[in-house]
Amino acid sequence: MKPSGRFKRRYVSFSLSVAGMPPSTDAARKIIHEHFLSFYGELGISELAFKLVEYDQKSGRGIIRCARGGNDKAIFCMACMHEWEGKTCRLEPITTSGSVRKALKG
Amino acid sequence: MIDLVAAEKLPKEAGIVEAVPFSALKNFFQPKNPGETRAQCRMKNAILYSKSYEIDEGAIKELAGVGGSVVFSLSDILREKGFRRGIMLSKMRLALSSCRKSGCGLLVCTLAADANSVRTARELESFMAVLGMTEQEMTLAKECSERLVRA
Repeated sequence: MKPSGRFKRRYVSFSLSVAGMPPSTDAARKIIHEHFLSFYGELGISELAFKLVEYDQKSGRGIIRCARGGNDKAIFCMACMHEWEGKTCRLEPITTSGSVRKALKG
Repeated sequence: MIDLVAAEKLPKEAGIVEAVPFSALKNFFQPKNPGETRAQCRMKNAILYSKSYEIDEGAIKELAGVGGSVVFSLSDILREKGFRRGIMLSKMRLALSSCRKSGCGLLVCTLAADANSVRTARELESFMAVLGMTEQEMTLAKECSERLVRA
């Protein structure tokens, strides 16, 4: 497929913390995947073209991918993260970008 | 963007110019029954907050007539989980539709009671977009919050 034929993507960089500390990569993957799945369901996730692209457990920062029209939905889902297994949890969106390189800078 | 919060001295997130506690506003009302709602909707520049989002269309029309607005709080979404969160979003959409019909003002805020519930301006914008607001309505909601808080 030509690059112009692919769906347009947006990359949202975020900062994740559970009880004020960044979780491990496995825990972060589980938290983000389960939260998005419970919020939008399997069909919603496929429409959103959601994917966890990168996560750095030292800083708690990472990047998710979504379809161009779905970045508001993705950010709202992130904003709805309030607690995880009884601990306070915050998934804060930082910047939205059209490329991973620019999202990393944010 | 101005944010209405429930507690004092909460941290300000990115894009939030001022976090105003609703207790400091004289025109902020949280009615307990429908009769009380009607009476408070007649006050000039009233800010009406109903936790259930089941506001009578007549009350919204009266509110629109006096330049008031209905509050849409993100804390009500955060408080709920699963199916109940979906119901809350649905009720908010219905209230938004009633406001749109009667030309009533919209006020989107966090009403955060603790630091973990405070959200950025971008997150509030995405909340507005998910509720179904147009770009124009989003701009009006931002202007409305500034106008009514200063009133």
